[in-house]
Amino acid sequence: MVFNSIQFLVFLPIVFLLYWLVFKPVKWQNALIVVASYVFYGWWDWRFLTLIAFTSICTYASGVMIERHREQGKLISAVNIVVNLLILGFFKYFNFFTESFADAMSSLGWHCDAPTLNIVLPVGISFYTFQALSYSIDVYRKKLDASHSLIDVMAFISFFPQLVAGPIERATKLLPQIQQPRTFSPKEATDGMRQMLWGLFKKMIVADTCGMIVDRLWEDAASQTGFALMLGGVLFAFQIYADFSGYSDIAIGCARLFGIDLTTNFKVPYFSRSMREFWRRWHITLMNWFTEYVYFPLGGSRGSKGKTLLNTFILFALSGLWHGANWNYVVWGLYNAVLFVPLIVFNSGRYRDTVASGRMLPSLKEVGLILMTFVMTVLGMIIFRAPSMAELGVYLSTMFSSSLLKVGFGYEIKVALVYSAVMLIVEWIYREKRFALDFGDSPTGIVRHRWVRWTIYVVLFVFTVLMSGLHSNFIYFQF
Amino acid sequence: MKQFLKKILMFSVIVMVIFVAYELLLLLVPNEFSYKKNYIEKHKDELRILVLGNSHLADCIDCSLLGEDAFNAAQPGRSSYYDLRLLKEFIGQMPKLECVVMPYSYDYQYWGHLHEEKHEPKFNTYRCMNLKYMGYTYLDGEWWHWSEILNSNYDHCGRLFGSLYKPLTDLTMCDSLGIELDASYDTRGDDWMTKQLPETASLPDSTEQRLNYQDNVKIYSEIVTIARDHKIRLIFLAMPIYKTARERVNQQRLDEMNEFIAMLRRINPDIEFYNFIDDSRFVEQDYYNSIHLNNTYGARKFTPLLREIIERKR
Repeated sequence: MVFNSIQFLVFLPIVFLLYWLVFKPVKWQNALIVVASYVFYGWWDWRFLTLIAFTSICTYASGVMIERHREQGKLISAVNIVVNLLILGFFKYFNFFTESFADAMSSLGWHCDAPTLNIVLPVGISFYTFQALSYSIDVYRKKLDASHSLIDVMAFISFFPQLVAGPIERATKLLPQIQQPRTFSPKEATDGMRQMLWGLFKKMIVADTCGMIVDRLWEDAASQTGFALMLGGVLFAFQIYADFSGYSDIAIGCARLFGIDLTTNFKVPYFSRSMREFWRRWHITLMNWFTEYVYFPLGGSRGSKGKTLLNTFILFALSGLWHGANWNYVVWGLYNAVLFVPLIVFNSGRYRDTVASGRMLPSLKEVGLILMTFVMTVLGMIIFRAPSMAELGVYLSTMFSSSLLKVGFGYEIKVALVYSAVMLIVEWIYREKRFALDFGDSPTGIVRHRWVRWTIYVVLFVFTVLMSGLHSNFIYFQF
Repeated sequence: MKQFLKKILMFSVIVMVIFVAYELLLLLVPNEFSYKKNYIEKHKDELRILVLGNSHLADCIDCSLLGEDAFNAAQPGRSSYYDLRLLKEFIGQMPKLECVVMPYSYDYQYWGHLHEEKHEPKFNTYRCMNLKYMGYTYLDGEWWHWSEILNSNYDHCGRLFGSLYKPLTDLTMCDSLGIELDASYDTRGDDWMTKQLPETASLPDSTEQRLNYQDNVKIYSEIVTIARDHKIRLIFLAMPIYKTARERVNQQRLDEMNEFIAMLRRINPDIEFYNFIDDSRFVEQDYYNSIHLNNTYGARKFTPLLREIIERKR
């Protein structure tokens, strides 16, 4: 089931009303979360429910066993990690590794046929697997007590708002919320609805409009002008942001309806002044996961600069590979690591605050830094979007040709740019809030009038429904 | 909680009122579906020649070259089911009707809407537009196909607001006698010869195709029976296709097409079938894409041939 579907529009109110009006004790609420999440997930393919149930049971059992046999905790945690990674590896990387191995062999002169399987990738497997891993690692590290309720662990792993595309929640944050009794907060629920509305706008209007153009440009990159392909790169940057952060907004908003607070996954990343800042604001929960469970155990930035660089390369290569079994993702990861080299060497690009904090507009220097970071991001996004390395070559060589100066905007491109601009302007205004349309407890300015706020909600919703001709899936479902 | 639910309810009511008003306003905007239905309704006493079917005829039969009292009621994407519904509704009310022209080609027996992907936007659009503007529910008759917001991937916003300033032909997409306006030689694009290449013609049949076949046997049998009972000439045309498409059509499909026509002839021996698939008179400039003639050169070449066929037996 997808958020932007009629089915979800029926599903959500039913679960919401049952959750708060019928299933009041927390135990029952958690059981309802599990059932609802399995219905939500099974809507795609019910066969994969066995997989998620298996992951949940293994994770639950590993937690209990680690607690009972502390001295063998490392081994138990390792076994759980290996089992989960094997499942993930089989579904996601089997063909990639066998084909890559065969290619490597044939480049050395040995011919070998790669055994490939017709494997369907279970939706969201990378997300829930990582979430499951965080649980057993944190129990092993004594950051969290093992849960003795299988239902709680199942609810933690399969919580439907963030099941298929994150945010990837750490057990230390989500599980205690699942275990505690929850009370309905009208303010949180209203905020949740607002955040969902904004997420829907981003997905159905901005992402889908940009996506239509980007797909067309990639289909026939060789016959496009360099300028059109450059615009294609920019539009894809907007598309993937609107798509993924839109999903996160809907997920976080939806969780709020159930009294659960999920981690912010995007903090206006396109207003970053350096790549370092960008990666603190983009897909935050994945980067936090890798930082906590890979980067820090490797030594993080505590050693020499050389060691820090090596760890950074490992972090980004793994993060690239996490996205999919394709070399372009690895190259994308390494490209980002390369951009980090000067930042590490000169120890620069550290920005903890939000750009132009307390001001309406940024300074000229800030604009320059933001644009520079955005250009680097767009180049990375082109690598990310490429269906294959060969097509990436065609795209980049056509883009960096003399036709790059052939300026021309089609009608559809103008529309997509206008939608993207609206998204960026609203997010700029609310960049220091939890989400766009977060009017706060005592709104100021024109939105202090209730009728203005209601007009915004109604116009945004009606516009989103009427203008969304193309209902495509969220990009990050494939990961 | 009560307060929150009240807010949600209020929001839902406002939004529903807007959507209902929007759907009702859309009904007032003319489009090809409503235009063609209304035209038949208005001219049912005079029409002598009626062209039915899909884009293969809608794109290239210019009724101004066909003689008086002819109308091209074919519609892109229309399946035989809707042709049958039109015939059933109007044939008894058309005293001067002499001839019905329909397309029939190598893959028609396998083509329909019912057994295609249920949520395919294209097919939901057809179901919705036919239900809403022609008054024809599809076989399964799901009520929710009525809503354009829910089903149609046509640009209904552009249609609604465009109706304030656009000329009628921009809304109906066809001229006053029904030929499609956008299938012109000038707008076909450089890649026209690879557009809409048949994919299924040389492939083994799928379950959906087999189910469509069973439907089509019934539907076409009914069509030829109605024509026989009302003593109307029924002309089937297998339209020309460009060589890029022809290469993909295997002999098995052509044999099946002929067998299907032979089966129909057993019900109504008077039906006529003209096969233009390999007609060498049609050259590059006549096509809109690999399987459609254009409304400029293609229509000017094909319509006189059809006129000759019609007049031959008059």
